Amino acid sequence: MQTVSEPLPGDLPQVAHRLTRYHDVLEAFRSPALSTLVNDGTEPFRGGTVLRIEGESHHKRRKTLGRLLRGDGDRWFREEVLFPTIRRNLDRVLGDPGHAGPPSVDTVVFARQAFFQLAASLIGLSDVDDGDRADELRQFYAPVQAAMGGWMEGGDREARVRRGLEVKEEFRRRYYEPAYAEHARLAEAVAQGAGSSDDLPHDLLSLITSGADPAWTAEPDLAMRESMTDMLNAGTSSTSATLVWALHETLAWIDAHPDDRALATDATFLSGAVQESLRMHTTLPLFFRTAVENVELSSGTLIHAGELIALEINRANRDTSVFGPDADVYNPRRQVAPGVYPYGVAFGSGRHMCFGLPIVLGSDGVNGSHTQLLKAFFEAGIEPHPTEAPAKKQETMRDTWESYPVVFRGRAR
Amino acid sequence: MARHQVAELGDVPPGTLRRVAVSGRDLCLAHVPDVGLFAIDDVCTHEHALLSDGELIGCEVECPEHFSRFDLRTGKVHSLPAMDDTRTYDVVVEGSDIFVEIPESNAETS
Repeated sequence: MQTVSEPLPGDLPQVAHRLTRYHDVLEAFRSPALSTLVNDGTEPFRGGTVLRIEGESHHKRRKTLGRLLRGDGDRWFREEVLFPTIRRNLDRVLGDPGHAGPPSVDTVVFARQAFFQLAASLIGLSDVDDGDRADELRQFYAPVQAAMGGWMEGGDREARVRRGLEVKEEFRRRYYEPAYAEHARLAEAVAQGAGSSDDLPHDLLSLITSGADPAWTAEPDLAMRESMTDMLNAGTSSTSATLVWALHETLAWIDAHPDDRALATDATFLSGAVQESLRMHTTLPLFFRTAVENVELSSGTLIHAGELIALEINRANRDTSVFGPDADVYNPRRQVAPGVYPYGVAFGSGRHMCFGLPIVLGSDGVNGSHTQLLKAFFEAGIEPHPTEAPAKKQETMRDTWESYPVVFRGRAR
Repeated sequence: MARHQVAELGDVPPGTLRRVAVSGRDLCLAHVPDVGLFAIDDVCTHEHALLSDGELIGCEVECPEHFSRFDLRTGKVHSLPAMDDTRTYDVVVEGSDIFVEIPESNAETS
């Protein structure tokens, strides 16, 4: 079956087609005739950002943002930002005597704190480099992320957007404007000949204040939306959820395959675990696209101009014709056919493909953020919490964890 | 092997990339400072993006869309998301003319 004709569940919008097969979804992501413009109520947060524009302006914006990760950018990120953040946060947990027993932490909170620190660093926000400040930002920012959840979240969407907009303004005052002012001062100094652009911080605010994109200069709120949407939301939401899934699956795997326990600190094995987790547990289950002209997919599905379609990521990533009859079974050693991405369409594809791939997987496919975090966890002897069970998040279409408590029992055995 | 004149040296200053079309094929011509000229297929093996619109980093070219990198000397892909190597072509400079050599069997086909 190439498409599913029954309506989407709940109060999701009606769509003309639900694409569920891997190759259909891949083709739809890549089609220039299928636009990201959808009326999901999140325009006050996403409008005009690189996620929602098309054509030449999108191409230029994407290239500009690419400067953050271009060349050795992912290596810089790994060595200058990621490793120190992991070390700092984990030392904090391991060094906390807490109550009796081994050090413990909720990995959902740990992951989100870590990725808020990483995202804040890529934006250039000030003073978010310790766990407390990162957690403060995480909690403060939650209403914005709920509002950006659009159709995926339950409850009163209009109320969520209203609350999200209030927090957006507060974010501007508390976080964005002070960091912007400091970056503007540095950019102005460079413009006056005091140093070179290489001396500026390697972050989004340096690009913005240096006038790298005229649209950001012309509309300051757009520049802030770019920070909030592309970095702070995308960089902390799915990424942290994926880490917890990868941890969960790896713990379950070595429990069922004790001979593989030693591999839990092997970056290549863990990279496979991360990519398989991305395939099986994509936290954003649906993407929507609007056809700007008639499109006929290779499979024969005809999409008419103006129609809204849904790209079902989780189903595409479990397409048995691509991933085999065991597509529903987690296997960190899964082999895929040439040309098939082991992580499926978890990062999307085409011109709007997720920027985070080099961060999550590393440009070498091995040394990304998630592999390094898992490696650090297992080197510290991570185990499921003996008395506190993990819990899934409710009232959302996203298959994510609300809490995932663990303990650390010292060096990996 | 068919030799095709594709550009002049002044068209591709050191440190730059240039798109050239030859025999129905789009190539990315790269001038690596102090190393030389290289030619590879211009379309990224990952998705349709033009490498000549990307960045020259040492002896690598980086795709402008998704940051895959290819070794200009070997065509080997060095970073995700591309998984397939690209094709390289011999480049010959005679005077100020740049020639690219394309296998006869491929000259008019792919």
